[in-house]
Amino acid sequence: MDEGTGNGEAPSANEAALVLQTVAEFSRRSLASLLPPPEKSILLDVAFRAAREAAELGILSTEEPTGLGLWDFPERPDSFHLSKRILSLLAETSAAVSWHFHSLALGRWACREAGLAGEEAAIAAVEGRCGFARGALFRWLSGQALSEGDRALLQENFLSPGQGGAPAVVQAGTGWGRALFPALSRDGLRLEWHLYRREKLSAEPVGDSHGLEGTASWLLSIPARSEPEERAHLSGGEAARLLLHALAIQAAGLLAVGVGSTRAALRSARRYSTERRQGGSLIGELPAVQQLLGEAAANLEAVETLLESLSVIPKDVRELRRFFAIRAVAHPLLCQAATSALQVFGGYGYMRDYGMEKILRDNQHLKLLGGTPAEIRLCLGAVGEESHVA
Amino acid sequence: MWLEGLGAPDHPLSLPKSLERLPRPIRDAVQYDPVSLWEHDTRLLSPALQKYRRQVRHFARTVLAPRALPSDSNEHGADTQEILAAAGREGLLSDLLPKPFGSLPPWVFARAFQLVHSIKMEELCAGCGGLGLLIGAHALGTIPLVLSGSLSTIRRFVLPAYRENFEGRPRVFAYGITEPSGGSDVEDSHGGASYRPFTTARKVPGGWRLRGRKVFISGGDIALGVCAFAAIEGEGLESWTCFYVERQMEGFERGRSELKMGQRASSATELIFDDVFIPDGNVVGKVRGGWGLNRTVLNYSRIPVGAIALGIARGAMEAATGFSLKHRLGGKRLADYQDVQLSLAQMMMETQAMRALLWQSASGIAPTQARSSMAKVFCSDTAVAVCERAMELLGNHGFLRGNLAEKGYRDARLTQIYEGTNQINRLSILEDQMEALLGNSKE
Repeated sequence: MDEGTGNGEAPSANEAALVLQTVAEFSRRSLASLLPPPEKSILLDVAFRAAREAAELGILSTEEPTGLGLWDFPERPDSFHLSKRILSLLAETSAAVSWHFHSLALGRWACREAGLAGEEAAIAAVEGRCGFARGALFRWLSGQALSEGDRALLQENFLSPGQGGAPAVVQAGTGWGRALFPALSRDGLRLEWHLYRREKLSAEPVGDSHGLEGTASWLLSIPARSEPEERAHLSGGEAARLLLHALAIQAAGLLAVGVGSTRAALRSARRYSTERRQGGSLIGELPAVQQLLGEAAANLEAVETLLESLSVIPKDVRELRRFFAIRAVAHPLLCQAATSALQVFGGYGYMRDYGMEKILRDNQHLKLLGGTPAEIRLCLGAVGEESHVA
Repeated sequence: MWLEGLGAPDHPLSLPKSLERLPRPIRDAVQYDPVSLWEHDTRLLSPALQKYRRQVRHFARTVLAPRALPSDSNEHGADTQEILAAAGREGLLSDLLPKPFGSLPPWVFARAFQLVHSIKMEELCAGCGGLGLLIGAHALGTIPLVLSGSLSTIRRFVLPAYRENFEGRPRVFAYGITEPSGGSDVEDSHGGASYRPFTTARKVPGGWRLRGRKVFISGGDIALGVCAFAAIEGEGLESWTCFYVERQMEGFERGRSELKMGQRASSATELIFDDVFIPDGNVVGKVRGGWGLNRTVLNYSRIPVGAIALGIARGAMEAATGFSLKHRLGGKRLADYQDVQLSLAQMMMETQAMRALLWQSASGIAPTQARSSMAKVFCSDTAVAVCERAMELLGNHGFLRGNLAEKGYRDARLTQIYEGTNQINRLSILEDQMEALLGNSKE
C-alpha cells in the first residue's frame, strides 16, 4: 500500500480495493487488539498509537500524499470516496480512532492547501466557537450583506488572542503539536488561516465526554499576545474557499464515521437476535424485534445512500448546503438506528459489556460535532439557492 | 432583563397590562400569574401534597444535586450510606405505610398513594436520576412485603426497617425478578407462558431451599433484604413464589455490579442463591402466589418509572435553560434568540405533557396495567427526546460531562428498558384493554 500512484493519477479500482482490504484488516486486527473490552474506558493514547501504525501502513500519509491515504486529495472524487470508506471501515471497530484519523488527515490536508510547511501533526479547528455564528458564516461565505449582528457573531465565532467567553471545543486524540484555525484579519474584513503551536495555545483536554472515548474534547483558546507560528499567504477568496472545502470534508467525515459505527451496532444486534431466546423462541422471530432491526437497517441504508451521493467537494456555498442538509437529516437517523439496535439487547444493551451503549454515545456525540442539526438548520435557512462563494 | 422578542410583562400590549384595562369579571376569566409551571402544578395539589412536593424538591436540591456529577463519575456508584441516611431521616425510605408506622399522612396514604410516589420520584430524579433510583429502589423492594397482605410480614420485616430508616440508619430492600435468561419473560403473560425457571425453590422441612440467580437488581449490592421470586422445583411460572431473602442467610451472595451507561449512582447487581435456606415465615404472600404479586407490583412501579423519566427530563431541561441564560453570543444571551426560545418552549411543553399523563394515571387508588404502562412508555420516550434537545441546545458543549444534559440523556435511556422494555409495555396496554377492544366488557 505504500507505493502510491502519485499526485496526478487516480488509483485504479484494484488499488482502491487493496487499500480497503488493508484498512479492513488493520481495523479488525491491529486496532481491535489495541482496544480494551467495551466495559473498560479507552485510554487517551490509544488513538495516538493507532495513528502511528496507520501511518506506517499509508492509511495516514505523513509525507507526500500518495492518493491512497485518508483525505490525500479530497478534491478528486476517487480520493474523496476512498476516504469516506476508510473512515467507515475504521469506525466499525472504533468511532473514536476513526475520528482521530480524520482530524489528523484533515489537518494535514488543510496545512498543505494553506501552504504551511511542517511534519508535525496538526488538527484543523474549522467549525469555530459557536455553531457557524448562527448562520452568519454561511451568509458571509455566500457573499450576502452582513448586519452588525452578523459581524459581531463572526468576530466571536473565530478564535482570536485574548478572546473572552467559552473556548472552542475540538475533538481529537493526543499526539498533535499544532492547530490550524480560520481567523478574521485585524480589520475584520478578510479570512485568514493561522497555525499555532500547541504550547502557544491554552488547550485543556476533557477526556470523559459523552462519547468518542479514546479522544478528548479539547477546550481551546488563544492567550492574549500569543502569536501564530505561521500565517497562510492566501487571498481572502482562497482562504474562504479553503474553509468551504474543509467544512465539507468535516461533514463527510462525521457522516462516514457515524455510518461505520452504526453498521457495527446493527451487525451486533442482528447477531444477538439470532442467538438470544425469549418467550421460548429466538428474539429475531418476534415482530417487535424485527421492527427495531428494520428501523435501524432502513435508517442506515438511507444514510449510506446519502453519504454516497456526496462525491465532489463543493465549489460554492450552494453545493456546501447539500453536505449540511444531509448531515442535519442523517445524524439523527444514525442516532435512532443506534438506539433501536441497543433496544434489541434489552437490559444488556444498557450495560457497557456489549458495547451498544458506547456506539449510541458515539453517534450522539458525532451529531453534535461540526454543527448540531439545529445550528445547521439555521445555516441552511441563512442562504438561498442563488448563493455562491464570496 | 426580559427575554428579547417576547412581550415583556411591563409592555402596554403584554397580557398582564392588557388585563389591567379590562373590567374585573372579564379579567378574572383569564389567568395571569407570574409563577413557574412547577408552582402552578403544585398549587393544584392538596395542601398536604403541596407541602410534600416542596419538601422533596428541597431535599433533592440540597442533598442529591450537589452529588449528581461525583456519583456519576464513580464506576460503581456513589457512597450511598450518607445519602440514604439523609433520605431515611426525611421519611423517604418509609413511605409505603401511613403514620405512625410509616411516613405518609393517613389521608395521603388512603387517597393519593400513587400520586405521592410520582411526585417523589420526579423531584428526586430532577436532582439526579441515579440517586433518585437509589432511594426509589427501596420502595420497589418493599411493595411485595406490603402487598402481601400479611400483618406478620409487615410487622417482622417492614416496621423494624422503617424505624431504623427514620433514625438515619439505612436499611433498604430490593426487588428480584429478572433472571439471566432475560427480563421480558417475567414481565408479561405471553413471555411467561414459555418461561423456563432459572431460580427454583425446593420444599424442605421448615422452609425452602433456593437456587439460582437474579441479574440487574437495582440496589442489590446494599439491600439487607430482597424479595426474590422463584418457581417451585419442577413447575413453571404459575408456581412463582416470593421469598424474603435476608442478607446474612448462608448461600446468598452478591455477584458483579454492572457497569452502566447511566443512573450509575444506583447499582444493578447480580444476586446468587446457592441452596439458601428460607424459613416458611419468609414466604411473602402465598405459595404459588408470586406471579400475581409480581404483576401487581409492576403496575405499582411503572408509574414511578414514568416519574423518574420526567424528573430526569426536567433536570436536563433546567440545565439547558440555565446554560441559555448564562451564555452570551453576539452580545445577547442564548435565550434571547428565537430558535432557542422555541426549543425551551418545546421542552417545557413536553415535560408538562408527561406530568399531566402521570398525575392523571396516578389519580386512582389502584393502578391499572394499561394506565401504568402508558405512563411509563410515554414518559420515557418523551424524556429521551427532551434530553436530546437539551444536549443539542448546548451546541458543542452538549457532549461535555460537566453539563448535566448529557448525563440526563444517559440516565433517561434506561427508563425505556427497565420495568419492562417499552415494547413489552406497549403490548401490556393492549393486553389490559383486550376485553374492551373485543366488546367483552360490560359498558
